[in-house]
Amino acid sequence: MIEFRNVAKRFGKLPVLQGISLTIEPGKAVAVLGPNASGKTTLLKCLLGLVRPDTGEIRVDGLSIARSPDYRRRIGYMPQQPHFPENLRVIEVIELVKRVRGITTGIELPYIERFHLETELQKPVRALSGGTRQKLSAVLALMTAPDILVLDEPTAGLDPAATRAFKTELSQHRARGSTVLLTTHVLSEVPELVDEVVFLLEGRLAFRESVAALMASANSQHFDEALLYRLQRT
Amino acid sequence: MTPTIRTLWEFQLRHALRSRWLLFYSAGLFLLTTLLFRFGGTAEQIVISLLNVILLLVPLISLLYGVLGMSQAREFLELMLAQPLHRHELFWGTFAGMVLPLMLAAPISIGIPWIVLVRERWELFATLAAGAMALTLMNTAFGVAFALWWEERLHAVGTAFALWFAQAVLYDSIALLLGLLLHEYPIERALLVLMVLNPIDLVRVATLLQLDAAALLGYTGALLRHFLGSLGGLLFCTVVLVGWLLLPTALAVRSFLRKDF
Repeated sequence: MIEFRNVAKRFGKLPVLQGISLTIEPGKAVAVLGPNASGKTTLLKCLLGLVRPDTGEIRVDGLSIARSPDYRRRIGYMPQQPHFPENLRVIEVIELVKRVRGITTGIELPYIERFHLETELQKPVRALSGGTRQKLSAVLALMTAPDILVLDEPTAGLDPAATRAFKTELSQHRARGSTVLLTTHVLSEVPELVDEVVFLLEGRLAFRESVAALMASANSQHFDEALLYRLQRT
Repeated sequence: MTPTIRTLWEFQLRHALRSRWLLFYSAGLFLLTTLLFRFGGTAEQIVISLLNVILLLVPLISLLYGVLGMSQAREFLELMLAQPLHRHELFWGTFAGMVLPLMLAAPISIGIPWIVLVRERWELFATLAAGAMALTLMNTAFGVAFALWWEERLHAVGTAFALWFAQAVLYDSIALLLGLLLHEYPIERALLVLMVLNPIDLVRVATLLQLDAAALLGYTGALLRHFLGSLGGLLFCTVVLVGWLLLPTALAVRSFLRKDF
């Protein structure tokens, strides 16, 4: 279980997160939505320990994340803009992440096949397109079969085939009980990827609702319409 | 060294060793040293020419290498910080892998022509190499700290240029001006304190103290020899330089540990 308890963060004078309290139960898939600069990415980064909250606490399965980085062994992360050392080869980047996590088996092989990276493995990262870097990022996030997936705009830059492969993988991870926390600007894919939506406005939690309830209350088959309807009532 | 630091260090080293920057820098120094030894006169004259190049070039290259290396690695560090490792492990693994090839570039690029063409005055080579390595480590650490302080890379590069200008150009002008304007007052000790503030001057004085080149020591160097003698002066410079190595490294570590990525 992931718990955000009254988490607040400022960058200089700018409040980015203001008293966010949120609990995400195991196995749930939640999309964090909101306009630009509403605090979505910062919230995810707080969970990963990349950004330290000014106040409040974050707990994973009851343990504060400030105590030890070990909880990250259970997390797979796809950043918004994946960058890797340009002079390393693709296989070396995968090897690095595996070694840091103490993994010695070929867990990455099915994912390399799934995302068609076989021919890219010996290439230096600098020779990769943006889409291929995103596929590599997906492999790194998924290969350890993590309990928690933190995905920041995961399908941005992926081609349709890779997006399909990613969604298939994500649903398989969800079926195995992984918790998913993601951000996306592609509203049409939200119902396909998650059960619930958390909406942030200016760093505050505006509302949290299930996708099904949102669409039912708006009486619409389109998620963007349902979200707009809900926002008008906020 | 923990296994995690060793792993990070190994991969960062692979990345750095394949860098074109490093290749051009090493090849340039090698070519320059070879040309100087072929056409530049005695070993001492060549050391003085080489010293001037090192004092100008090494701090600038190292500062930029630190700034650009760290700012280009920001997003990757973000990904690595999402792995089960401590921040200090990531810092030391990354920093050591980044700085070590650059630290070794000068001794190797100067050392090969020295071995082939000079084959004597090893104490001079050792001082020159140690000075270049110290300036590399210190300025790379400053560059890394600047890249962590500033969100905008341009600001970090600007700060790096300002530090280089202060060390390499401004300092000499201020020391000379003070010497000229206040020569009637007992300012010698104050000028020695000024020397402590500039690592480039420390390396210059430490090297020149071993040469019969008193005229090149500069005002502060001559004072140092007057007060402490050549060996005492060398020891003084070494101790202060160690302090200069620790300061920017501590700043870089502190910035990294506190940084919001």
